[in-house]
Amino acid sequence: MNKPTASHWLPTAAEEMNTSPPVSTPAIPCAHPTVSAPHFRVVEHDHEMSETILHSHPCETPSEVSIDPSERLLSVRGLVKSYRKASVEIPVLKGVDLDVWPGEFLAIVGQSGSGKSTLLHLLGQLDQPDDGAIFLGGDRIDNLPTHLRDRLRNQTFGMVFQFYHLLPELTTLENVLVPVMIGRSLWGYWRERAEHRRRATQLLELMGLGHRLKHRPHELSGGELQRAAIARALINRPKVLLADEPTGNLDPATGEEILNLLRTLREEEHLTIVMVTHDRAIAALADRIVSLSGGQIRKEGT
Amino acid sequence: MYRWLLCWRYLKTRYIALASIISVTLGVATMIVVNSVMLGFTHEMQNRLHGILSDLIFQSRSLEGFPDADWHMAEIRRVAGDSIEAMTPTVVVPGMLNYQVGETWMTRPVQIIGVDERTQAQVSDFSRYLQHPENRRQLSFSLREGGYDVIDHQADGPSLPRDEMSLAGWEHRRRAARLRKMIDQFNSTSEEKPEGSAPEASAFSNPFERGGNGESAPQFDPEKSQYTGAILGIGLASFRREGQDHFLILPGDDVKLTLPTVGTPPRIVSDNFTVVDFYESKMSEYDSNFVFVPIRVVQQLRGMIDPSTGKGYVNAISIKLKPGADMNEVRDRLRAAFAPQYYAIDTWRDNQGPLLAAVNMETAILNVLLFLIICVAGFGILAIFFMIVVEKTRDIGILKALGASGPGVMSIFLGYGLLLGVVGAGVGLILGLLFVEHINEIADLLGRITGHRVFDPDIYYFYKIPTIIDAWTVGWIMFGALLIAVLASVLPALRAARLHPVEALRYE
Repeated sequence: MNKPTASHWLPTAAEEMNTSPPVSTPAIPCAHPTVSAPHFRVVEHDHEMSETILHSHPCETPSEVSIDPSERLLSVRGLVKSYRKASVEIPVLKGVDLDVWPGEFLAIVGQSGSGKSTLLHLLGQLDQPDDGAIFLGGDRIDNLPTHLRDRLRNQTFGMVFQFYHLLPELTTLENVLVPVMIGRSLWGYWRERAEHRRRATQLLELMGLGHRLKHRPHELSGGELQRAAIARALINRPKVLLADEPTGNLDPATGEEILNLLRTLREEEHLTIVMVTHDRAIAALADRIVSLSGGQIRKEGT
Repeated sequence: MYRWLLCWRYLKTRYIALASIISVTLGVATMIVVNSVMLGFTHEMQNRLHGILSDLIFQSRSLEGFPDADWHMAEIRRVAGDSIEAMTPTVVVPGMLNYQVGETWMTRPVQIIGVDERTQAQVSDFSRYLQHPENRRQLSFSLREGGYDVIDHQADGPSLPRDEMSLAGWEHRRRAARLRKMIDQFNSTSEEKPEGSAPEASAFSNPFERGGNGESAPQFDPEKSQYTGAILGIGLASFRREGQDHFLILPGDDVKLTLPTVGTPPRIVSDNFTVVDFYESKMSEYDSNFVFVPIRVVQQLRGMIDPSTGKGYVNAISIKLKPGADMNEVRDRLRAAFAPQYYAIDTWRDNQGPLLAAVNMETAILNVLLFLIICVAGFGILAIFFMIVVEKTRDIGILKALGASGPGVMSIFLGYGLLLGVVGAGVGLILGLLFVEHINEIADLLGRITGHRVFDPDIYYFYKIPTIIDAWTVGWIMFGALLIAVLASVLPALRAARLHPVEALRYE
């Protein structure tokens, strides 16, 4: 039995240099529920949770989805997260189940405070859930050791934020290169710096920022900042682009421009995009919309 | 990679952090300067002390001394002959020096040292400190015709010439003798007059000269002959004002030495001597205390010669060891061989221990104080780093969101601390070395600005501030400063590493 691990999702050095990103996810034969079950193994003490997940296993309920279950890129089961504010526990997510398919553009809509950002942070391994599990291609990732989760953030997920979050000390080009630098040693980066710079420049040109390479973030407009942030998110060829209100700080025209850019990227780079937004007009540009309210997903299709 | 890039950018954009390391810079610079000067002083002093004193001093506990120096020297050689290069017997006895300046008699307490002119120079740098080039080559107690140094031969920089020394020697003696004769003639003619100047005449006269004249005037002509030679410490014969030496007497002048004889109770004897040279070790303690005379003369005056054997008593033997010999080991061997109640055997270090220990103590205290300054600077760095971490909270969140690990973020701030330390200590090193290099110019400049001499050669007898830069000391200072800079950044770096990315990103 070919038992995949999370490291399958971390590109090897050979893959990194490959110009076309791998399209297909590792195929996991779903021969028998009992065999597949370990992929969704969760905390042992939570029997109810385990049952839910096992019950929702695609092999057992094939009617629910038409795609081979092993091909789903991200799946979330029974995700619970609450925040503690002055000794009062505020539950934000109360058992979220969500599937993300390879190559889709999923929008999660919800009111402010509905926990959509929290969900995105949990997906992007910025935070750990109180309960529940997150699977990437069948492998549980939320309980991996810190250094592997660091690596997932660096290699597998690309994050775009509402407030762009570029480092003010660095130029646009350097900002885009930061994930490459983080993922490599000093020597490893230095050896291939020309190649990395070439790719970063290409990406920025693709974003229409070819003339802004040497500029500092404070010299750029909002739309330019967000495009630079997208270039940064893409530099390590991630599998999933996680966007947190990417248009929240932009005027509608620029926001639409950014959305179109994301759509193009999804098609050209075979990206999977998960975007959270409160703006239904923006969400309408995605392939599929789910809404988050009351700490749970309400299905909504397009 | 991103760590170094960010460290570098932070260094270039956060001037407040640079301000925090100014105290590191100053601390490092001051420590280098202080250590160099103190080491220079210690080294110079040790050199001089060692040059004045021989390696080992074998002393009698009594001023009376011990008989038969040759037997003792043979015995010393038998005990520790393999490490002994040279020995010389000396008689050291406290005494009084009298000399005439104009018509006034000056009295100074001195240490009279009877030395063997053949062997004295072998055990110490004694002859190096004399003022006549010939005496430096071969010590002699005969007055030279002239040619004494006008320029201080030990000065390693510009020094004011001692013009009076150009007169010293026989020429000076003859001139003084003629003048004395004229005065005496004038006195004797005025004494023949019935009325008048008797009080003045008595003012001109002096009891010693009279006494000497009474016994040996017929044979002794000061224009042609001299008394026994004596070498005076230069501080006994001169004084210094604003770097210029003024001489009270010169080689060629006569002085009187008074000293106690052996026996109980001692009697007082005195005799005339002719100054033949000056001794200048630049240790004022010695230069204003020592009078060197031939050992045989001291022995005769004090009655130290055994009439039955003709051998003189001595009360000290100076011993020079072969290079590489262990001073303390030889001392211990000698101490074991000679009765401790009669003989005191010490190394020059033992004798000057308190002085050297005091200098070392001062250096240690200064180092502790200055290191504390650098530690204070460390707390400044700590505070400013905390500020920077708070200011950079969002950036830290971004880096973590992009996959940077806790240790990675921590290393940004540790590296930043190290970089600041390197810059601070590096600038301090350069400043310190430049300061040491130009310390005398700086001292002069400060003196000119404040009108107060920072370094007064009158006091120290050095023309320049001596400095020695010890690479190891500098290395340790640098290491300590860097360590403190890094240690000070550990806490802020830990805080940065522990920041939760989501909370950090939400931070505005």
